[in-house]
Amino acid sequence: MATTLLSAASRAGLDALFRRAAAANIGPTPQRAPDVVAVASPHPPAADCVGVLAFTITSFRFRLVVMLGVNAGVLEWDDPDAEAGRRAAIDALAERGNMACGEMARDLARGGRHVGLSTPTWLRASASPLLEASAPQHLSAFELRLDNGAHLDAWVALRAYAPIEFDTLVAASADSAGELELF
Amino acid sequence: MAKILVVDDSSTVRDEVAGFFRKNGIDTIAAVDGRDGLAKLRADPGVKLVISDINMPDMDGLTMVEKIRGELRNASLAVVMLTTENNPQMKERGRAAGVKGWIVKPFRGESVLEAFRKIVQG
Repeated sequence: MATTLLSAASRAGLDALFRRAAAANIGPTPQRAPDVVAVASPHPPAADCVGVLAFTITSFRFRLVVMLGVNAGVLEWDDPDAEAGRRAAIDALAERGNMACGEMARDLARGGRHVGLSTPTWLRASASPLLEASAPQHLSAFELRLDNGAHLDAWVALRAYAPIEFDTLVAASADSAGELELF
Repeated sequence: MAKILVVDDSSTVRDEVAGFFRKNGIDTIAAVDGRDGLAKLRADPGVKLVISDINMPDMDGLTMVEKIRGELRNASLAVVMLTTENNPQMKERGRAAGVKGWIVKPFRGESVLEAFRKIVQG
């Protein structure tokens, strides 16, 4: 009999962790949090997607990949003709994604799991459908709707190597982000 | 005058942290990863505090701290990690390497200014 590595409750818990982390970190400011809306999966990248930011969270039991599809309307900078401004806008978005995935990693590490987070990787827009091709046990898609009318697409894919539960992690975390801890 | 080195692969973080310190009248330089950080420290003995990320593509921040103590033979330079990481094993590695403080991102100006005041100004 096949073992279920990821229960329905764990899938829902994983999506809840992403929703919370994305809402708290992906907006340009904390006051401009995006609406995180689940959409049907598979969800192709938007026609104006200029690239994908990929983040990987790994442990001995799972590999979680979060991709953010960066659509042209999301990138705001002063001079639309300046390549340096475009790179800076993508870098800012990569850092916001990094903080979101960092928050997810801290949530996933509760209970003593050893969890590692990659640095952000910039990929071509065509990379996001590869998540589905990798046959993860869980794949969900979201739109992160910003207050300027633009949106990012997001994909959350998990490959489990052993039975794992995420549903107990959804309770509010005691995150001390931003505070100095002296040694 | 005390100088701060900010080490992060994100230009957004480098600009934000360095800009904050400069606005508060503190001389600040920046490096893009641990390897660059070591080079900047070799070139500038005036640095009194390093604020560093951990996960960076070329050399990570904790390896850089270990090399500051080993290769650079600098046991007194204060280092504070500014990172998304919060796991106990990494903190223990940081403590063992003589890291003085730890801040989980996001960057909050008052926290790093507090680090500067407590660690550099005593």
